[in-house]
Amino acid sequence: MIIDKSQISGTRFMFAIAFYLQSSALLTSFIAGVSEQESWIPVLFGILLSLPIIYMFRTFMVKFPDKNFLQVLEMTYGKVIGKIIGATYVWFFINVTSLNLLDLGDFTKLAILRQTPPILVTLLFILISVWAVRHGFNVVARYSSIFTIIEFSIVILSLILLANQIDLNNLLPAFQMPFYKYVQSTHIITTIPLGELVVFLMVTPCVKTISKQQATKYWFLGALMGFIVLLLVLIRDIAVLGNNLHLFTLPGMVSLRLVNLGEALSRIEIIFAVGLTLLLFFKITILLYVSTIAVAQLFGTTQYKNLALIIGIFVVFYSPTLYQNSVEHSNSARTIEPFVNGLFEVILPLLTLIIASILKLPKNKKNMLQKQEA
Amino acid sequence: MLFRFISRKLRYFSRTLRYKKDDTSDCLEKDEMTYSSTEDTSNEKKEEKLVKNLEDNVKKMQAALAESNDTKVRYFRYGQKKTLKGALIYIDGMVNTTIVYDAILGSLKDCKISEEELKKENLMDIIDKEVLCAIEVKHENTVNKLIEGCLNGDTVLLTEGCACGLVLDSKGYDKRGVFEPKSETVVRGPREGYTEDLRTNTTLIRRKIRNGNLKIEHTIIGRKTRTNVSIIYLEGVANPKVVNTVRQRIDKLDVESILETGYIEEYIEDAPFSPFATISYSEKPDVTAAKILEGRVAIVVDGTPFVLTVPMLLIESFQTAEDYYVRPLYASLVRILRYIAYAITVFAPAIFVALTSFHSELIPTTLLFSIAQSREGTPFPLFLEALLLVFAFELLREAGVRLPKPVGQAISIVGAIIMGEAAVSAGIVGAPMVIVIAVTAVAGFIVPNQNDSLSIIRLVALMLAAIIGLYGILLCFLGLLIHLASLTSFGQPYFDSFGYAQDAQDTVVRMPLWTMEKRPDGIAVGDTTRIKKFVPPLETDMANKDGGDN
Repeated sequence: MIIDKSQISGTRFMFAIAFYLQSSALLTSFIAGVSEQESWIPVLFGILLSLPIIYMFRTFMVKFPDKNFLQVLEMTYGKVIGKIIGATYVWFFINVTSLNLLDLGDFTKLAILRQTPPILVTLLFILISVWAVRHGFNVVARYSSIFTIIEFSIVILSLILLANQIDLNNLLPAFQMPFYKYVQSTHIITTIPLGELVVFLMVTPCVKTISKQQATKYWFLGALMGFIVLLLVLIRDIAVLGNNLHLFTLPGMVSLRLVNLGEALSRIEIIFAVGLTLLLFFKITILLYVSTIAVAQLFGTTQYKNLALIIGIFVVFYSPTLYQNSVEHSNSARTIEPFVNGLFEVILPLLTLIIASILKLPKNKKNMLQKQEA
Repeated sequence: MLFRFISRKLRYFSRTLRYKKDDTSDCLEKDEMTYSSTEDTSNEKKEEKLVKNLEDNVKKMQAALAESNDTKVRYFRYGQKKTLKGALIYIDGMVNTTIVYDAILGSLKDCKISEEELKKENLMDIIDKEVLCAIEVKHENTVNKLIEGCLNGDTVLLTEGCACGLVLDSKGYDKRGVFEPKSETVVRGPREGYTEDLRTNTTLIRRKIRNGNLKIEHTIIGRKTRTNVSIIYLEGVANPKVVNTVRQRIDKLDVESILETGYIEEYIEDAPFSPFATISYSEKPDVTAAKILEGRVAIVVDGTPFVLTVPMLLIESFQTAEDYYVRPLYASLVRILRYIAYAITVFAPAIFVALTSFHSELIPTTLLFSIAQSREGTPFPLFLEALLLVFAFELLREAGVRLPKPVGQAISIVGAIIMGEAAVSAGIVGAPMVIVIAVTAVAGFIVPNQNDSLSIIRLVALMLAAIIGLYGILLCFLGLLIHLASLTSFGQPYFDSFGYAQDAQDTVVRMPLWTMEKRPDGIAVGDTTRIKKFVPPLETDMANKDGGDN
């Protein structure tokens, strides 16, 4: 059963991965609370740790190029258990979507529209998201490449503009904290922004057939582009703000606010706000698309277009109920979410992969090879 | 249990939806079938055959032409002894009288073939082969076909004792000459433009592309107007799928009238409710020729100097013919200017409203003060002010376009002095707002092809900005992107972003012509190479010199 018939090229898929990671880069505050100015160390560790995870995702894509993750689960565990695990994944996807939407609502309340009720902001936002989802993954991922490039240029530009504020001594001293802090923040960085790439397992049927080498190339190159921006943004913020980093909800915005070149260039944090909203839009659209496809897969329907609106509205009203305030939100991001996410991003896929290889799935390998050749 | 219940419900829902779809499609097919069958019978009724009697035939023809005043019948006698009767039927004003009298009537009267020979079965053949010196001759034996010939400006020849008529090509009617088009003027480049005559237009294209592969297909559309429509493309370069789609969509048309390309455009376009046009038009043969050479398909309609080309991509609105006639650096600069102008004209009023009424902290303090000063005493909220001025501008523009030229001058004076000066000094609108709208208006003229889309999007952006400020403008921008991504033009994605386009030499910037080795990806199929590898002259000279030294 193919739910969405649209197809995208491998390059576009790569850029989609890249900008999914980039969009997380702008909200780095939750890790700064744990490891403060040493945050760049856990990020490095996290990147190293996420490499095998990405390799695992890539193996899924090579093994099951025309199956989404929920279909793989059903194949591996049988219909009943597969559906049950699939249902938990549906919750996971919807939850991640809601959390990102919550981030957006918090951000607009903090930075752009202080008196507007966040529900109006998120509702309008999700309506346009739904519009995109209804057109299929082709439209959802259309602008991935151009926004990756735009994001890159914004980061590089901000580095140049902040050159006089950057003090690399701020990155030091290193390895001064208790060991468990590094473990905790590495865990956070691996599971929250990096491991979330698990959502891309749901869209693999939409990618035009690619060979093994290409799959590896696209996954790792895409992730690499994301990593670079993630590191650059974090190091920039630490180098500019020093150990005040954890005081701010949006360190990126604060450091851009410090740009002041004579009288000509100041107050460019609006670029940050615009960039963040654009990236969050495409991130949430991908997440909403994935949730919609997952629900459609779970109930065995191909009418995902009608589901998109239902799930979108559900997410809008579900997200404000998650946390009482943003403090609770970031606290949970530090202590609870990494463990929940880890289950869905690492443990379950790994288990599935092992069981699938024991069962020698997929059985019709011949078809798959033919598809790859074609 | 609950889970299975929900899944069953959902499945039922999807199934009913599917059935509904099937039902409607069935109905459509049935409708089409019944419709076409009635059409067939009516056609058969009209198929009236000619008889051997000349008088009867002429009467039939006159009846079919509604005894119209401009129908002329000219009886004559011919043969060696002038005993055979014949008649010429034509429509006055549609024919070239020199051809009718000299080439047709003259040669018939001079004919010296004996009556015995002429009275054989193949009388018309002899006349056709041995007597007439007309260029194009068609043998027809139904009234319908003869009438069609008459209405196209041909002359019909009937003779006594023959149930067959000849349609002789004698078209000749007044037409406009080839002038410089008013809508697309150039500083450098060819100045000829299309006329209202189909044949002149196809000739203008043919003269640009003297290649045997340039194929011109012909159809007639419009039950009442019987308009000639030609589809032109370069065989082996144009995508056969696109050509087929165009052909099918045009053949399927069953409309009463086609008076302009706009009629056809509306019937065959992909997205009729989009503010963006998915079919481009031009008034200049060099533009059409360039597009045909890229693998596009042109549609020429008789009676209008505008020629359509499909598929159209968004990029085309920002490319002008002159981009390719001036040097690349300047062309690129102008093209980037066009993109910026588009952004300005769509979002400038919205951004101004959002900044002043929601995000005044983003405006530099001195500017904020002067804006606040000019706002003092103006009665309306900024949004209303912007709406008022946009409305006034659209009024002026529309008035300027429709009015005859001498009166048009007055409009600009009224616009400049009364709307601008007086409104500000009377305190109805603020001066900054007038400036913003003026910039918007001027920028809008830089992208004339997108005039329809930008005035709609401008209003949407303005309203969203009035409701939720900059965030609303962002949402409008995102919605615009999504909409653009979802559009297609004859199977081709309308806007494929600038990311990593295969033909990036001709999108944001215009690279030198010799870098464009391939035709645009996806539009041209088959023969996609535009030029062979080219090395700039200075480099080849250097290479030669090096070779000589060695």
